[in-house]
Amino acid sequence: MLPALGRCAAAASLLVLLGGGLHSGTSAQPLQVGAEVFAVDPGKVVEVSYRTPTLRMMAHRWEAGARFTIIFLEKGQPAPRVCLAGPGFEHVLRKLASLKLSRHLSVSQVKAYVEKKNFNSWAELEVRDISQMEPFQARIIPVPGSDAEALVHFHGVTYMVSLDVKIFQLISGGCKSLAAAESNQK
Amino acid sequence: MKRIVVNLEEQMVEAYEDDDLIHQFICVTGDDDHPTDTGEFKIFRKQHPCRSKTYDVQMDYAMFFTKDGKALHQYHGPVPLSVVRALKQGVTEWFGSHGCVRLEEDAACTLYEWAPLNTKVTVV
Repeated sequence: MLPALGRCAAAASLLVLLGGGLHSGTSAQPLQVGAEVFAVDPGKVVEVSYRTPTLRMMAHRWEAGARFTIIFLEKGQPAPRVCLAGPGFEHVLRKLASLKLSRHLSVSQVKAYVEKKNFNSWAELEVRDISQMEPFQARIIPVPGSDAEALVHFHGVTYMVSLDVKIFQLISGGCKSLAAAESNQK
Repeated sequence: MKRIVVNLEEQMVEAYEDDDLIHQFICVTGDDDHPTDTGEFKIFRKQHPCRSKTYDVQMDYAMFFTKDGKALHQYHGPVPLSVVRALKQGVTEWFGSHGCVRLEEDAACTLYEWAPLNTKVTVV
């Protein structure tokens, strides 16, 4: 081992010599189809926010293992609706907590999908877990004519992922829809 | 059962399926001021791409295993990871991370696709 000052100077010199582009390390490899672009243990999720231009859902619990309280705000409805989550919401959470790449898209395909869509169908998703990290934030865009896929956009990348569109219908239905889903699953 | 072992002394990551060694990669772990936690953990969140706004750093193929955000992820620095690892081991701890386990891109991608949520991570 060199003396501390010498070590740092040597290290700095080496960094300058090697820093000229030997390895950028920034070009990400594409994931294989079926890989999860985002996954979180649903048992560790404490907050889910889902927002469209006409609806906002916020599901929250203070600690893992507790039951979620869900608050819905809808355009045209002055009062929020509040309900306790049941198996229906747990189903939605499990689906949103595992976003798997269903196929690769070219830039032109992404552009075509985005241009086709009505902006009112876009949603913003935020999933916060028990860690001190920033929540996962993404924009979700339903795919025309598909009931099993959606576009997910985050950190500048757009993926086509497997996602049952029924979960969007469940969320859009508010407490009433989730309650029905709870009944159906019992 | 799949499991990952991070060896701080060797600066190596090993991936096992039962007792079979499946993958072995070089890594760079935390420095003296920000050591990588030792013990047993589980991967509870995966994300690619991933960027920490707090630290303003890219951390692709991220697999988080501690509540304070320590993860196995791709190293994005300008100097090859093998050089950084050698400097950390032989020159100064200054070249360590802030506690995350940094991997070369191929290694990070391979491990990300290989390890599902809840894979055990042992840091020794």
